[in-house]
Amino acid sequence: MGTISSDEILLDRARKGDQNAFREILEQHQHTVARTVAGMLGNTSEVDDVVQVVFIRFYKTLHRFRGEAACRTYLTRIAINASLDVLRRRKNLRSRFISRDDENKTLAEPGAYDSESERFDRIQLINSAMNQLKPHHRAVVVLRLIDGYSVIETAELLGIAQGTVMSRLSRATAHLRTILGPILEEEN
Amino acid sequence: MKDPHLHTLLQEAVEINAEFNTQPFLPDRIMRKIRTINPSEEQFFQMIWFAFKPVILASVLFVLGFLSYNTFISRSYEVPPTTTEIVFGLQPLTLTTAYSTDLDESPSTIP
Repeated sequence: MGTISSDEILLDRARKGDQNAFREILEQHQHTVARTVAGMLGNTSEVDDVVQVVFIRFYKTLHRFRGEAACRTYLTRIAINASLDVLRRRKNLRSRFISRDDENKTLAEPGAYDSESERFDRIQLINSAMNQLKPHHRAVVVLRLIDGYSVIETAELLGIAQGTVMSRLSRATAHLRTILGPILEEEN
Repeated sequence: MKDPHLHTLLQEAVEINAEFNTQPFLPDRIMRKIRTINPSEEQFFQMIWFAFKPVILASVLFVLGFLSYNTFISRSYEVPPTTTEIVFGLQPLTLTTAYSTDLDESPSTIP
Protein backbone atom coordinates (compact mmCIF):
# COMPACT_ATOMS: atom_id res chain seq x y z
CA MET A 1 0.00 0.00 0.00
CA GLY A 2 2.86 2.32 0.93
CA THR A 3 4.51 1.65 -2.42
CA ILE A 4 1.32 2.51 -4.28
CA SER A 5 0.89 5.84 -2.51
CA SER A 6 4.57 6.69 -2.92
CA ASP A 7 4.21 5.70 -6.59
CA GLU A 8 1.29 8.10 -6.92
CA ILE A 9 3.29 10.98 -5.45
CA LEU A 10 6.26 10.21 -7.69
CA LEU A 11 4.01 9.84 -10.75
CA ASP A 12 2.39 13.17 -10.04
CA ARG A 13 5.79 14.83 -9.80
CA ALA A 14 7.02 13.04 -12.92
CA ARG A 15 3.96 14.20 -14.88
CA LYS A 16 4.87 17.76 -13.94
CA GLY A 17 8.24 17.18 -15.60
CA ASP A 18 10.30 16.27 -12.50
CA GLN A 19 12.92 13.91 -13.91
CA ASN A 20 14.30 13.01 -10.48
CA ALA A 21 10.89 11.59 -9.60
CA PHE A 22 10.90 9.54 -12.79
CA ARG A 23 14.37 8.27 -11.92
CA GLU A 24 13.09 7.14 -8.53
CA ILE A 25 10.25 5.21 -10.20
CA LEU A 26 12.79 3.72 -12.59
CA GLU A 27 15.07 2.58 -9.77
CA GLN A 28 12.15 1.14 -7.78
CA HIS A 29 10.76 -0.94 -10.64
CA GLN A 30 13.88 -1.66 -12.71
CA HIS A 31 14.45 -5.07 -11.18
CA THR A 32 10.82 -6.17 -11.58
CA VAL A 33 10.82 -5.14 -15.24
CA ALA A 34 14.19 -6.81 -15.85
CA ARG A 35 12.89 -10.07 -14.35
CA THR A 36 9.78 -10.04 -16.54
CA VAL A 37 11.82 -9.29 -19.67
CA ALA A 38 14.47 -11.89 -18.76
CA GLY A 39 11.68 -14.43 -18.22
CA MET A 40 10.30 -13.69 -21.65
CA LEU A 41 13.57 -13.43 -23.59
CA GLY A 42 15.94 -15.69 -21.63
CA ASN A 43 19.66 -15.17 -21.34
CA THR A 44 20.30 -12.49 -23.93
CA SER A 45 21.89 -9.05 -24.00
CA GLU A 46 18.60 -7.81 -25.47
CA VAL A 47 17.18 -7.77 -21.91
CA ASP A 48 18.99 -4.51 -21.18
CA ASP A 49 17.71 -2.84 -24.35
CA VAL A 50 14.14 -4.00 -23.82
CA VAL A 51 14.14 -2.70 -20.23
CA GLN A 52 15.22 0.64 -21.67
CA VAL A 53 12.43 0.51 -24.27
CA VAL A 54 9.89 -0.27 -21.54
CA PHE A 55 10.81 2.77 -19.45
CA ILE A 56 10.94 5.06 -22.47
CA ARG A 57 7.46 3.88 -23.53
CA PHE A 58 6.29 4.42 -19.97
CA TYR A 59 7.73 7.95 -19.96
CA LYS A 60 6.02 8.76 -23.25
CA THR A 61 2.62 7.56 -21.99
CA LEU A 62 3.01 8.96 -18.48
CA HIS A 63 0.38 11.65 -19.01
CA ARG A 64 -2.13 9.01 -20.17
CA PHE A 65 -1.50 6.75 -17.16
CA ARG A 66 -4.15 7.77 -14.65
CA GLY A 67 -3.22 5.24 -11.96
CA GLU A 68 -6.21 2.89 -12.40
CA ALA A 69 -3.70 0.04 -12.27
CA ALA A 70 -0.64 -0.15 -10.03
CA CYS A 71 2.54 1.22 -11.56
CA ARG A 72 4.08 -2.27 -11.42
CA THR A 73 1.16 -3.81 -13.34
CA TYR A 74 1.29 -1.09 -15.99
CA LEU A 75 5.05 -1.55 -16.43
CA THR A 76 4.62 -5.33 -16.59
CA ARG A 77 2.08 -4.94 -19.38
CA ILE A 78 4.50 -2.75 -21.36
CA ALA A 79 7.33 -5.22 -20.64
CA ILE A 80 5.30 -8.19 -21.91
CA ASN A 81 4.26 -6.35 -25.07
CA ALA A 82 7.80 -5.13 -25.76
CA SER A 83 9.15 -8.67 -25.22
CA LEU A 84 6.51 -10.17 -27.51
CA ASP A 85 7.60 -7.66 -30.20
CA VAL A 86 11.21 -8.83 -29.81
CA LEU A 87 10.17 -12.52 -29.93
CA ARG A 88 8.17 -11.86 -33.10
CA ARG A 89 11.19 -10.18 -34.73
CA ARG A 90 13.45 -12.96 -33.46
CA LYS A 91 11.15 -15.61 -34.93
CA ASN A 92 11.28 -13.93 -38.34
CA LEU A 93 15.08 -13.74 -38.20
CA ARG A 94 15.46 -17.28 -36.91
CA SER A 95 13.37 -18.72 -39.68
CA ARG A 96 15.87 -17.23 -42.13
CA PHE A 97 19.30 -17.35 -40.53
CA ILE A 98 19.71 -19.13 -37.19
CA SER A 99 19.84 -22.85 -36.56
CA ARG A 100 17.70 -24.50 -33.88
CA ASP A 101 20.62 -26.41 -32.31
CA ASP A 102 20.53 -24.40 -29.11
CA GLU A 103 16.90 -25.30 -28.51
CA ASN A 104 17.49 -29.00 -28.28
CA LYS A 105 19.88 -29.14 -25.37
CA THR A 106 19.77 -32.13 -23.08
CA LEU A 107 20.82 -32.43 -19.48
CA ALA A 108 24.43 -33.42 -18.85
CA GLU A 109 25.16 -36.73 -17.16
CA PRO A 110 25.11 -36.32 -13.38
CA GLY A 111 28.61 -35.91 -11.97
CA ALA A 112 30.07 -34.90 -15.31
CA TYR A 113 30.63 -31.30 -14.12
CA ASP A 114 31.55 -29.55 -10.93
CA SER A 115 28.72 -27.84 -9.02
CA GLU A 116 29.19 -24.39 -10.59
CA SER A 117 29.21 -25.57 -14.18
CA GLU A 118 26.38 -27.97 -13.34
CA ARG A 119 24.38 -25.00 -12.11
CA PHE A 120 25.23 -23.07 -15.29
CA ASP A 121 24.20 -26.06 -17.36
CA ARG A 122 20.95 -26.29 -15.45
CA ILE A 123 20.17 -22.62 -16.10
CA GLN A 124 20.97 -23.14 -19.77
CA LEU A 125 18.55 -26.04 -19.90
CA ILE A 126 15.80 -24.02 -18.21
CA ASN A 127 16.39 -21.19 -20.70
CA SER A 128 16.28 -23.66 -23.53
CA ALA A 129 13.03 -25.15 -22.20
CA MET A 130 11.48 -21.69 -21.89
CA ASN A 131 12.63 -20.83 -25.43
CA GLN A 132 10.70 -23.81 -26.74
CA LEU A 133 7.43 -22.47 -25.38
CA LYS A 134 5.22 -20.43 -27.65
CA PRO A 135 5.52 -16.69 -26.82
CA HIS A 136 1.95 -16.46 -25.47
CA HIS A 137 2.44 -19.55 -23.30
CA ARG A 138 5.71 -18.08 -22.06
CA ALA A 139 3.93 -14.85 -21.12
CA VAL A 140 1.49 -16.81 -18.95
CA VAL A 141 4.33 -18.73 -17.26
CA VAL A 142 6.25 -15.53 -16.57
CA LEU A 143 3.26 -13.69 -15.14
CA ARG A 144 1.92 -16.59 -13.05
CA LEU A 145 5.02 -18.45 -11.92
CA ILE A 146 7.72 -15.79 -11.95
CA ASP A 147 5.96 -12.47 -11.30
CA GLY A 148 3.35 -14.08 -9.06
CA TYR A 149 0.21 -12.53 -10.59
CA SER A 150 -3.12 -14.28 -9.98
CA VAL A 151 -5.11 -15.91 -12.79
CA ILE A 152 -7.48 -12.92 -12.89
CA GLU A 153 -4.61 -10.42 -13.03
CA THR A 154 -2.80 -12.43 -15.70
CA ALA A 155 -5.98 -12.59 -17.78
CA GLU A 156 -6.43 -8.83 -17.48
CA LEU A 157 -2.79 -8.11 -18.28
CA LEU A 158 -2.84 -10.25 -21.42
CA GLY A 159 -6.39 -9.38 -22.43
CA ILE A 160 -7.51 -13.03 -22.50
CA ALA A 161 -10.08 -15.15 -20.66
CA GLN A 162 -9.21 -16.76 -17.31
CA GLY A 163 -9.87 -20.18 -18.81
CA THR A 164 -7.32 -19.47 -21.54
CA VAL A 165 -4.76 -18.50 -18.88
CA MET A 166 -5.30 -21.80 -17.07
CA SER A 167 -5.17 -23.95 -20.21
CA ARG A 168 -2.03 -22.18 -21.49
CA LEU A 169 -0.38 -22.54 -18.08
CA SER A 170 -1.29 -26.20 -17.89
CA ARG A 171 0.13 -26.92 -21.36
CA ALA A 172 3.26 -24.85 -20.73
CA THR A 173 4.04 -26.45 -17.35
CA ALA A 174 3.47 -29.93 -18.81
CA HIS A 175 5.98 -29.12 -21.54
CA LEU A 176 8.47 -27.70 -19.05
CA ARG A 177 8.10 -30.76 -16.79
CA THR A 178 8.86 -33.04 -19.73
CA ILE A 179 12.07 -31.20 -20.59
CA LEU A 180 13.14 -30.45 -17.04
CA GLY A 181 12.08 -33.84 -15.73
CA PRO A 182 15.60 -35.02 -14.73
CA ILE A 183 16.32 -31.79 -12.82
CA LEU A 184 12.95 -31.88 -11.07
CA GLU A 185 13.58 -35.49 -10.03
CA GLU A 186 16.97 -34.48 -8.64
CA GLU A 187 15.33 -31.66 -6.67
CA ASN A 188 12.78 -34.08 -5.23
CA MET B 1 -1.24 -26.26 -10.56
CA LYS B 2 1.91 -24.75 -9.08
CA ASP B 3 4.88 -27.09 -8.82
CA PRO B 4 7.17 -25.64 -6.12
CA HIS B 5 10.31 -27.18 -7.66
CA LEU B 6 9.51 -25.93 -11.15
CA HIS B 7 8.65 -22.57 -9.64
CA THR B 8 12.00 -22.40 -7.81
CA LEU B 9 13.95 -23.43 -10.91
CA LEU B 10 12.28 -20.80 -13.07
CA GLN B 11 12.77 -18.10 -10.42
CA GLU B 12 16.46 -18.98 -10.12
CA ALA B 13 17.01 -18.92 -13.89
CA VAL B 14 15.20 -15.63 -14.35
CA GLU B 15 17.05 -13.96 -11.46
CA ILE B 16 20.39 -15.00 -12.96
CA ASN B 17 19.40 -13.95 -16.49
CA ALA B 18 18.15 -10.58 -15.27
CA GLU B 19 21.24 -9.93 -13.17
CA PHE B 20 23.65 -11.11 -15.86
CA ASN B 21 22.07 -9.04 -18.63
CA THR B 22 21.35 -5.78 -16.83
CA GLN B 23 24.09 -3.21 -16.58
CA PRO B 24 24.52 -1.37 -13.27
CA PHE B 25 24.36 2.05 -14.95
CA LEU B 26 21.14 1.29 -16.83
CA PRO B 27 19.14 4.02 -15.02
CA ASP B 28 21.73 6.62 -16.12
CA ARG B 29 21.48 5.40 -19.70
CA ILE B 30 17.68 5.54 -19.65
CA MET B 31 17.62 9.00 -18.09
CA ARG B 32 20.11 10.29 -20.70
CA LYS B 33 17.86 8.91 -23.43
CA ILE B 34 14.76 10.45 -21.83
CA ARG B 35 16.38 13.89 -21.70
CA THR B 36 16.79 13.79 -25.49
CA ILE B 37 13.09 13.04 -26.05
CA ASN B 38 11.09 16.05 -27.10
CA PRO B 39 7.70 15.98 -25.50
CA SER B 40 4.85 15.55 -27.97
CA GLU B 41 2.37 18.40 -28.35
CA GLU B 42 -0.23 16.54 -26.26
CA GLN B 43 2.35 15.80 -23.57
CA PHE B 44 3.52 19.42 -23.63
CA PHE B 45 0.01 20.75 -22.98
CA GLN B 46 -0.51 18.12 -20.27
CA MET B 47 2.70 19.25 -18.56
CA ILE B 48 1.66 22.91 -18.82
CA TRP B 49 -1.77 22.00 -17.39
CA PHE B 50 -0.28 20.10 -14.44
CA ALA B 51 2.32 22.75 -13.72
CA PHE B 52 0.05 25.81 -13.99
CA LYS B 53 -3.33 24.37 -12.98
CA PRO B 54 -3.96 26.89 -10.11
CA VAL B 55 -2.81 29.86 -12.20
CA ILE B 56 -4.97 28.78 -15.17
CA LEU B 57 -8.03 28.29 -12.95
CA ALA B 58 -7.51 31.68 -11.24
CA SER B 59 -7.12 33.37 -14.65
CA VAL B 60 -10.33 31.81 -15.96
CA LEU B 61 -12.22 32.97 -12.85
CA PHE B 62 -10.75 36.47 -13.21
CA VAL B 63 -11.79 36.71 -16.89
CA LEU B 64 -15.31 35.46 -16.08
CA GLY B 65 -15.61 38.01 -13.27
CA PHE B 66 -14.32 40.77 -15.54
CA LEU B 67 -16.89 39.88 -18.25
CA SER B 68 -19.83 39.78 -15.84
CA TYR B 69 -18.83 43.10 -14.29
CA ASN B 70 -18.55 44.76 -17.72
CA THR B 71 -21.91 43.31 -18.80
CA PHE B 72 -23.51 44.60 -15.61
CA ILE B 73 -22.01 48.09 -16.08
CA SER B 74 -23.06 48.26 -19.74
CA ARG B 75 -26.74 47.98 -18.75
CA SER B 76 -26.60 51.49 -17.27
CA TYR B 77 -25.72 53.13 -20.62
CA GLU B 78 -28.55 54.87 -22.46
CA VAL B 79 -27.14 54.02 -25.87
CA PRO B 80 -26.97 50.25 -26.39
CA PRO B 81 -23.30 49.21 -26.64
CA THR B 82 -21.88 46.73 -29.17
CA THR B 83 -20.63 43.29 -28.06
CA THR B 84 -16.99 44.44 -28.15
CA GLU B 85 -17.87 47.44 -25.98
CA ILE B 86 -19.70 45.19 -23.52
CA VAL B 87 -16.80 42.70 -23.33
CA PHE B 88 -14.13 45.35 -22.79
CA GLY B 89 -16.30 47.61 -20.63
CA LEU B 90 -16.05 50.54 -23.06
CA GLN B 91 -18.47 53.41 -23.28
CA PRO B 92 -20.68 53.17 -26.39
CA LEU B 93 -19.20 55.14 -29.27
CA THR B 94 -21.52 57.91 -30.49
CA LEU B 95 -20.82 61.14 -32.35
CA THR B 96 -20.93 63.01 -29.06
CA THR B 97 -18.54 60.71 -27.21
CA ALA B 98 -16.22 60.45 -30.24
CA TYR B 99 -15.64 64.21 -30.26
CA SER B 100 -15.77 64.62 -26.52
CA THR B 101 -12.45 65.66 -24.99
CA ASP B 102 -13.59 64.67 -21.54
CA LEU B 103 -12.58 61.05 -21.10
CA ASP B 104 -14.26 60.67 -17.71
CA GLU B 105 -17.67 61.81 -18.81
CA SER B 106 -20.15 59.04 -19.38
CA PRO B 107 -22.33 59.16 -22.56
CA SER B 108 -25.35 58.64 -20.39
CA THR B 109 -24.82 62.16 -19.01
CA ILE B 110 -24.18 63.78 -22.41
CA PRO B 111 -27.36 65.01 -24.05
